[in-house]
Amino acid sequence: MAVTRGFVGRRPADSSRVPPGQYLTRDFPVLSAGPTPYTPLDTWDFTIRGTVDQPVSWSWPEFQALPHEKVTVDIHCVTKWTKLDTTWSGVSLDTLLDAAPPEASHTVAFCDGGYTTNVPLADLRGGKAWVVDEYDGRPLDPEHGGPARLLVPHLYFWKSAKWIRGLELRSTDQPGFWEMFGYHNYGDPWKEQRYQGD
Amino acid sequence: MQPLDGNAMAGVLHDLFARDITTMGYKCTGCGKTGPVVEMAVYASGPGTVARCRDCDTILLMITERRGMYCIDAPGMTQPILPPA
Repeated sequence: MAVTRGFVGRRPADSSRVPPGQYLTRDFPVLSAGPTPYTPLDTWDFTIRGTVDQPVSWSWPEFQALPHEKVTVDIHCVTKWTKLDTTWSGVSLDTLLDAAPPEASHTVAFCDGGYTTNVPLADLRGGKAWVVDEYDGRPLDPEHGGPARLLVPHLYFWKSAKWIRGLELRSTDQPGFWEMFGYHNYGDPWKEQRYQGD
Repeated sequence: MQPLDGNAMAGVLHDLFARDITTMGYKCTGCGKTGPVVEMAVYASGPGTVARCRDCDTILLMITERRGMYCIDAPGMTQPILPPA
């Protein structure tokens, strides 16, 4: 059995929206490195901590009260599938980060189940990232990262951390889970940055 | 998502070690559980293969393939026991 699945390319139908080496899928594959966490909403919170003046947390009701945006984006998994026009609803990282003005340049997303991934702070600002709690008009299913996941569609989808519980803001970079095991530190699908050294 | 068992890694482990590794014994550094590789909980759908302890979810083995090279890490597995080939 192959170690990794999905690394088989097929010719894309609309190449202008499909990064190099990717193929289009209408499915929404579930890829996971461990058991699916099921976090009760009455114990869920989202925290921004680290190099901030004061850490800040939102409970689920407080997170729901924040302004939500509906976004439609293309997503690109490092296992070579691309899904166009996915629809989500969530809170922009600009809103969350404004509540905790950072003095940092790097972030690490931390999640239920222990998953982490690192993203430069600049890649979470300027309307480029959200914490989403709905997919396709319905509450985000736990298999797809519910109750909430990070959404950073301009990077490979391993950066859109499922089951997110917060961001640690840092002045230095720290590789996350897949980054420590040889995947690219940044992960731009349009430069095909799948692995370290790409 | 339900995990597979260690048999999901049998092929690649045989390719790498030229023998059946699924019967190798190990001890989990997280909870001390002992058992054979075949009993590991294996998540093979992601960018890499992750084998976890069924009792405490500690990551026992990580296998990734990048540009034809296999990379193996065993962060949570200790005291491997393998009979002579």
